[in-house]
Amino acid sequence: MSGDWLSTLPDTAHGLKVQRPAVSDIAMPAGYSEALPLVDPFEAYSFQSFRRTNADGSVTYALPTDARHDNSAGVIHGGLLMTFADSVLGYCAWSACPPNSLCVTVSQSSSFLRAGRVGDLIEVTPVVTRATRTMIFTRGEFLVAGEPIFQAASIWKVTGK
Amino acid sequence: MAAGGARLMTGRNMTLHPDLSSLEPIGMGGFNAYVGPLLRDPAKQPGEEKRFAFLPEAKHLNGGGNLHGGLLMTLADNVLGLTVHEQTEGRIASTVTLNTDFLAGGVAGEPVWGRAAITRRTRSLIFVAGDLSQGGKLLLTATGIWKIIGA
Repeated sequence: MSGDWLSTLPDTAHGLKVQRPAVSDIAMPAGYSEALPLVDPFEAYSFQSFRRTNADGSVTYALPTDARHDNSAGVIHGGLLMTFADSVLGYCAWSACPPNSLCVTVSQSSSFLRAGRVGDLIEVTPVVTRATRTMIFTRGEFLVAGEPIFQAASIWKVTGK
Repeated sequence: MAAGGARLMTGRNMTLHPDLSSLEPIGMGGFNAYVGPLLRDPAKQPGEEKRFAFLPEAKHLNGGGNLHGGLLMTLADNVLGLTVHEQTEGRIASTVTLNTDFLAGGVAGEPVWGRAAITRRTRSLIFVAGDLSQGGKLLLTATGIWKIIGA
């Protein structure tokens, strides 16, 4: 099931060896062209996501889920959804972040519309709703087969490097 | 449940963090394997400080070298959710909403402490609030609503 994308991922991030448990068994979803490098060690450790750029310039992200992602009730753990949200809303916020600055999460609101099931492919096209000199507001609606299961909105603080 | 307190995996070596010796690990599989073991002090009541604990490692960081926001939100979901499930008489409740504010960055290698308390209970909903701290500094505050399934 391993694709060529696997060889493009870095082995280390910020001087730390990246742990990728059995990532080679995750296939690139249909319609996607790129595996996220996931330079954050916790993301590289806990999931693999993919992206494509759409004709209008927006970016859609996809997260394949499997048995490593469930909770004690047997459905997708809210923590995975919130972590994926922090990741993709972060990419979105960073795209609006001025040069020579960085942004950090100040607040995230997460709503769980229905349970995600093991095996679901979760897709999102996050947007920047407002950007000021010091703050960036982002949100995303997370879909399974076109139906929303989860939504998140976050506020990012722009800081100097 | 390990006898004699919490033994934590650090790489291939089992080490015991001195601050965590009286806590017991909560066994959880699936995604919780990435954010565990979560520990609980059996002598403490809901709302009490340092009732839950987690010892983060390098793999729990973000690209900036701080604890990943997703890790902290997952810990908050677990601390608040476990506190909720003490009130559901064995029924399953699921997170409807979780609001999290990030007050400060956290580091690897030092325990993250958690606590939560119920703020309101209706027939089908449980409102809960909690926080995570490290070294006496608040990292995250959280409020959430859980729905009792079938209620």
